[in-house]
Amino acid sequence: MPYKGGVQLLPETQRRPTLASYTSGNSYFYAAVALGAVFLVISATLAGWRANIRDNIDAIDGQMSVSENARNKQQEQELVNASKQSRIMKDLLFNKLYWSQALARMQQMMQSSVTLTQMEATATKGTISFRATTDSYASVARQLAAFVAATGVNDISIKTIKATSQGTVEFDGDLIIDTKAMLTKQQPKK
Amino acid sequence: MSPKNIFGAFTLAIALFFFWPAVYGSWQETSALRSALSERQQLLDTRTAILTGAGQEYTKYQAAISGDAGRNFIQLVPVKKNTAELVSAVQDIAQNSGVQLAQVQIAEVKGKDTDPYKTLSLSLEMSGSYPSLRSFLGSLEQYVRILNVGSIQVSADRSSGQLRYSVKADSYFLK
Repeated sequence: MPYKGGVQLLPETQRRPTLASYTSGNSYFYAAVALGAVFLVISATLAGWRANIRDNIDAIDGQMSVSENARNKQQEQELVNASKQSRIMKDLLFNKLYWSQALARMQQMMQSSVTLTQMEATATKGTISFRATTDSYASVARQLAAFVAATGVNDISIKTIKATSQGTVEFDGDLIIDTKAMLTKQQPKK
Repeated sequence: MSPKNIFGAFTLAIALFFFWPAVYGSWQETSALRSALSERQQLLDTRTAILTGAGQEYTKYQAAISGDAGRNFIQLVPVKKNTAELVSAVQDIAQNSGVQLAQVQIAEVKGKDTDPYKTLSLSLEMSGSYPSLRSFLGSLEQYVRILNVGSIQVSADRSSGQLRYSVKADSYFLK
């Protein structure tokens, strides 16, 4: 439209708005830029911190690797074995059986006229099965009385008593023993 | 609302939308790394303390087992079967007790899974006098390795005038 004089309110040509026209003096935009800058600074700081932490982790991993290589596994195994040994030893020694002690007690119980011809002693059953010969039924009776009176014999079961053609008397039976009293060492009382 | 304000608000929203997750994610990663570092440091400290303690205990252990009592301690329940040593010891004991060893059978017994040890079962066939049997049993009981006699069978051999023994015993070694 040609100029006709006077005040012209409308521009002659259409002007497109520029980016600057949106940003200049725009407080929201400035806030966004400031926020972005803050975030960038924070991100950079965190990235530096992470790198530092990773370095520390690598250093610790290195120390762990060194300590792993420095381990003496044979020594450790020896200690583990010693620990196991000391744990089981108490139990095994406490339950250790002393048959020499049982035989000595049995020897004390035996009458001089009685001869043992066979014996089978079993700790798990707690029995001593025996076969013996003697000169008379009276000796058998004395022997049985000695068994009954002895410490460590809980019970006695006689299977057979018979006279032989040689004039002797043969008898056999089982002694039910107190395995604790007969076979284990008595601990001295403190 | 003017287009300028709309643009500003939009820019601010974009900044929040993109940067906030980035910074928050970065912070979470940093926190995870800090936890990992702390855990590793604790692990290293614990490990160092354990290894130092183990070294000190080993020194004490070595000192303790250097004497006779210490050596016996190790042999009570040995780490390995040591079958040859056991047979040799039984042979020596039999010889010193005046017992004639006729047969030795050794078998590993499958015990309970909960047992911290394994069992070697010995079956011995012998002959000799009654005092020699008592001497043999006494020596077996005194042997440095734990030997538990479970059963004894004695019968008279009329032809030789001697006694025949069958002794079953258990010995132990570590699992």
